[in-house]
Amino acid sequence: MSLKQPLLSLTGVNTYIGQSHILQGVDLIVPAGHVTALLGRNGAGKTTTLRSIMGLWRPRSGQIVFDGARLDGLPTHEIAARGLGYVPEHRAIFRDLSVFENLQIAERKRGDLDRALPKLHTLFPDLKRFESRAGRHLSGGQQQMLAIARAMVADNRLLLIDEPSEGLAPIIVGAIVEALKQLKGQMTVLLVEQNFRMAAALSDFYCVLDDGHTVRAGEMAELTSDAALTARLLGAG
Amino acid sequence: MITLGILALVLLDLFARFEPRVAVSILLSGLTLGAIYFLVSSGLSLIFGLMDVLNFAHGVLFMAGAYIGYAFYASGFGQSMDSNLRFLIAILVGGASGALLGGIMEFALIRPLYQRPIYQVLLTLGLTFVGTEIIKAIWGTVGYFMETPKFFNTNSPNCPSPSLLDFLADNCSSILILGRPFPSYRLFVILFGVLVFVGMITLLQKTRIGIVIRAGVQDAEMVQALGVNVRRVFTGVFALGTGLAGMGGVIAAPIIGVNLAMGQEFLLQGFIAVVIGGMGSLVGATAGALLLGLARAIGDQLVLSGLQLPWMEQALSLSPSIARASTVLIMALVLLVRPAGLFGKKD
Repeated sequence: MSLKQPLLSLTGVNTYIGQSHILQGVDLIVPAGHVTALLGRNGAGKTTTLRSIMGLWRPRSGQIVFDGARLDGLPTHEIAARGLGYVPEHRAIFRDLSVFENLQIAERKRGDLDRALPKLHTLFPDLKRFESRAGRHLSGGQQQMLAIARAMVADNRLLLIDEPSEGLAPIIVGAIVEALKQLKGQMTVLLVEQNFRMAAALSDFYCVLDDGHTVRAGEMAELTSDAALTARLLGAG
Repeated sequence: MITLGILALVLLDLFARFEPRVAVSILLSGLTLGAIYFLVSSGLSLIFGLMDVLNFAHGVLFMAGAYIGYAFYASGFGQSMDSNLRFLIAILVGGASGALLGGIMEFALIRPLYQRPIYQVLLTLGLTFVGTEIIKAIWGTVGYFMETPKFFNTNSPNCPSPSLLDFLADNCSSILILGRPFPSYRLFVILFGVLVFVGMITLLQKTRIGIVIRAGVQDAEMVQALGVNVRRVFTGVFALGTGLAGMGGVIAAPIIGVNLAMGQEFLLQGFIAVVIGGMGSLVGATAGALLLGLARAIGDQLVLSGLQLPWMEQALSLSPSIARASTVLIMALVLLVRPAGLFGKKD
């Protein structure tokens, strides 16, 4: 797929939570085979954008197109079945399930896990070591790795990752960045990340949201080479 | 853990006050009652854990199972059959009607209301009244007595059976346990409860659907985001829970009869068991049910014999309502120490 045919695109998406108009016309393009960072201040609508894509909040208007087909209006489980893996904010690991069961539940076809497991264990060796440990006994970093691995068990083509560095020590963040770097080129990723350095290190493209609007989008190189622009868009370097 | 330890000590102390053979019969009576409470509380707990639905209609489905199972058992349709087989089928009929009614209820009535918890409570509470009236219209207000099948109800000069092995040969209605007769059917109820418990644990721990249920209790939204159609699982678990209740109604019928009061009574005890054990945990619902059953059995015995504490010259006679109130008292005590219940899983 070329850049002109993005894997995922959002056009004029409006999402309400109760009476609040959170997304006020988000436009977003996620090119196939690349990592796109979704940036913006707290409350800009980044998490809501991911949840709207997954159908966890239903957009009131606008289009969400994945691989040429509309996603908006479909129930969440059907959206996931189209090939979207979701790594939510706060990770949402199943605490009472073992590491293995946390991965097992993400199988959509028999054999998904057998096929994915070797790759996941190379990427995150801890998951092999703590296979039978309950989710609640994992450290924050291990939970984050498990959440990412869980989204990769099924044959997904797009990963939506929300704030993977949140609440983690810098050294753990480094490990997760390394793991995600290995994914680059193999998978399409839409990454929400407050930590700009991490986002810049991983992403090829960016999209900045503010107050529920798309403010600017382009190639990551344009941001990393222009500190003034970055500061103006994100309010920090 | 500490709470559990204290509870165990209190129970042990209470049992030590009786002579052993009396203590054993109380224990068995308590387990019998506990097994029936478990059939109600396990479904209530799973349904609440997974769907956040407080199913007030659970009691009326328990009762519906009892009436429908009884109707089959007593009907001409089944009379030509051996009473043991007829009884087994009656249990299945009760379970199937509970599951079917519950499944339809979830699919048609509760599903549109997942976003509105208050409406669900009103709905399931309303269905209780509707269901009771329907049962009244079909079967009238008089209760029925359901006979135990032949396997637990055969007369012979050897009765009561001196041991479990002898029972298998002569099928007496009572078995001597430490010299005291105990109804053999009640031992079957305990065994049935154990089998259902083992079955449920296996389902939850060893199967894919079990993993989905356990994960869904914590975070149904995330399960859905992994591509699982959670709504379908909801309907299935609802039907499973109400099916167990329907089965429980038939199992309980030879002990408590088939009547219009049974639904409310067992709904209340089921809820208390769930609250004690902690919402959403099968082990909790089981522990709560057993605790209630034992408390009730001890309470009943104390009402019979009176309560004599060391400093009392004369035994204090207790009114039967104390035995009934004891279950609520236990709930209050457990909640004071552990607001989430003994094994609470919900956030």
